[in-house]
Amino acid sequence: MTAEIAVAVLLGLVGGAALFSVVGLLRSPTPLAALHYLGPAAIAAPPLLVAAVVVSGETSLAFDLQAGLVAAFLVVGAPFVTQLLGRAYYAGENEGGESG
Amino acid sequence: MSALLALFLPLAAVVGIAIVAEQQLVRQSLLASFFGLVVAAALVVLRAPEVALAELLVTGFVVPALTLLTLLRVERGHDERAGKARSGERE
Repeated sequence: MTAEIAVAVLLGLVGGAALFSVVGLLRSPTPLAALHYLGPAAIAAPPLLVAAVVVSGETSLAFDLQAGLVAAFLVVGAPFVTQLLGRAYYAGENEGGESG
Repeated sequence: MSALLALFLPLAAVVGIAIVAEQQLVRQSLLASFFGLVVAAALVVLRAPEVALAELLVTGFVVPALTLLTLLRVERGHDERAGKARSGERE
């Protein structure tokens, strides 16, 4: 029962982070401003989701470790995707080929 | 748990509609990754953690990264073609 409550809280936080990011992204005036709203969904949500999977206790230890690695990869990789986003937007705005 | 599912499924529908309604490709790509996050959470509720993990990795990182790389390459190709056309006009 305690595990179920913990899973529900963690997943609720994931949903809240996703909702916050979506609303912020839709309300931000420019794509560069929208990049600021990537944080909750890209940095906080994956570890919370993986924590929910681990806390649920339905998976093996090997799978939990794998899930942890996936969460770490996503958290480390998120800034690179954000950088790529900024470059893609900059390349679209400045048609002088200065994006590299 | 069904209450969580009742939260995540409408949220997925809302994000899906937002993806379709959005006009800018960069924002669409971001919203698609958020959609994947919501679906991954729904899959955890549905007791499919393996699928949720794959969904999280693919839609959270691989799809946006590849989409944005494609956008970058398309923009660069567009710039190069425009540059060639301009130099052709001058000659």
